[in-house]
Amino acid sequence: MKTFIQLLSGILLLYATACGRNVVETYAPANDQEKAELDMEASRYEAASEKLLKVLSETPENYNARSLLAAAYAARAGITTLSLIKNATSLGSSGATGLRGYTTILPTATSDVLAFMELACDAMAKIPVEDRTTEMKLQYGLFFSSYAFLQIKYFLDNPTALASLSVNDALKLVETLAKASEAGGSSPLSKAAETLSTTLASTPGSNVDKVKAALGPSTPASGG
Amino acid sequence: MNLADGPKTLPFPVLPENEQWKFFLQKFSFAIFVASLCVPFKTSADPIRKSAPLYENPFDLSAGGASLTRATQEGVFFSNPSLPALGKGFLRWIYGRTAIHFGADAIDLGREIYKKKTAGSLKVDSSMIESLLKTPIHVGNDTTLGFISAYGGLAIFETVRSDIEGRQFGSQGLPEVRTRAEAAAGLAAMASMPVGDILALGVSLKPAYAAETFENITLSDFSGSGAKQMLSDIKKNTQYGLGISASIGSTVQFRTQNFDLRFATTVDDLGQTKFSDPAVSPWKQTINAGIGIIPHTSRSAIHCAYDLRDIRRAYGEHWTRRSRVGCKLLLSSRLGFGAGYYQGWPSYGIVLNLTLLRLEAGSYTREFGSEAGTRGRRVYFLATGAEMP
Repeated sequence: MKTFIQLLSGILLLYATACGRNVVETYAPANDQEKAELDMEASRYEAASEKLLKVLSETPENYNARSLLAAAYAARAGITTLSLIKNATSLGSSGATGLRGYTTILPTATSDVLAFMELACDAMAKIPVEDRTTEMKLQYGLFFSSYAFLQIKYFLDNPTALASLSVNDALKLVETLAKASEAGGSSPLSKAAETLSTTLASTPGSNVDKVKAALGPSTPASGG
Repeated sequence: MNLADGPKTLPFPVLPENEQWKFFLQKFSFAIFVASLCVPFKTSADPIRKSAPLYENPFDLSAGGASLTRATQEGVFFSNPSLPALGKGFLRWIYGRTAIHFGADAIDLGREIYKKKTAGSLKVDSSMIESLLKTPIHVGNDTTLGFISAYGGLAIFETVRSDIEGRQFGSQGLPEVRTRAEAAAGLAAMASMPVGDILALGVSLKPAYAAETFENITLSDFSGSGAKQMLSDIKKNTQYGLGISASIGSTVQFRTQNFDLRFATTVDDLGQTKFSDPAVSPWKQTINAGIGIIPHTSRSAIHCAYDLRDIRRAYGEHWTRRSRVGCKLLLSSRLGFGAGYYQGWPSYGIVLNLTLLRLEAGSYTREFGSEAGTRGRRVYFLATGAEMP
């Protein structure tokens, strides 16, 4: 009986030390993509990005991983598809109108936010058109339109930056809008990007002139 | 026979006549084990359950799921059909049992919703939808009815597992709802036979209807005609068919007054189980091996066991996913405690045997990731049943 109790105590002690963790986890092969998905759910976007970059360095044609990497960058910019949809539903009832109105559902356009959104768009653009799933096409359109409106928000919030708009920055905005427009989509941001892209295309002058005309203080589009 | 002397005597033993028969049986069981490793099998797409048994008794799950050398009641039909031959008496059990399984996350969410409802603050808003999206829901049910004797048994059974999991980012970055369900219902028939004092052999047949569905619904599916498309996809991806699963098992038991040692090997889905609908993924043949040590008194016992399932890796799973280890403490056939590690995740449970009524409760963790330790989800179970021992 004594041996019986000793054995039982030993088993219980061994069991208690595990504290609910998986005891063989360290021996299991690592699936970085799956772990990155879990990191994303836990809002560990930086860790997810690192794991996905590792996955992509080994399998560059893993487009699910690339699309998820784009989502990780966007999340680091404070933008998620879910938040965009949630906020878009409140857009109509908020009374906000014009370009300024659309930018209210986006985070403040800091240089970090813009940089991460640029990375997100770059990641999506690296997925060949023929390999994009329906979901990837949707995400592509949402990210490009969000990035375009973040740039617009930056210029609306910084009139001096708009006044000294460089050729490159103007080209970047025009191209971002064009890509958002190409992607189509039924979200308010996508539709607004499409309208603005068409407006810019029909406006005479250089890209700098077009952007200044569209975002300038005298235009009703920038009101809100 | 002294176990410690066993290995020394194996090559060319000189044994008394009564020991020669036992020695032959040991060789025979070893031969069955080796032969079972060589049974041919074919490969094809995998079912959701992979190397796990078709049905697992909840108390066995709470003891880590290591059931090859000792299974609880109806568990023997599915773990090792040779086990009934090792017990005492002719009629073992006539039983009926039902078990429910709930994921811990779903219980927490349900509790939160109930609290809000009673407080009058429940409203269906975006935060609630987000909570639902982030809360995995796991429910399951097992029902079985049958009898088991020393020479076999007959049972009817059904088992259902259903999972819904929302992911804010899914696998591509967009919100996604993953649904998967598996179910089986049918008959289980088993024959078992003792061969001498130490060996038992058994065979089981399980004609069953099996169904499973696996569908990932992404955000884009919710737009426009997405709802109809979603239902159509689930229907299209739900596969079901009739198949007959056959298993063979052998157990070798060495007994002393206070210590038993068991080795078991089984072959499940012998030759692979095909279904009437070829769209249903066949269940691949798996070969499983287990060891159990049982220190015991005349009334109580601790059964500690380790099972390694699918030792030929028909499903390609890493050993960490195919391992089950645990102990059952059984006190006077009235009370039992189980604890173990099911695929590395801790599990525990209790069983109370009140002569005719049997109650079981406990918890285990199911792995939903591709590898052990990736995405474990805690599940609680409650089982009740009537039995005539």
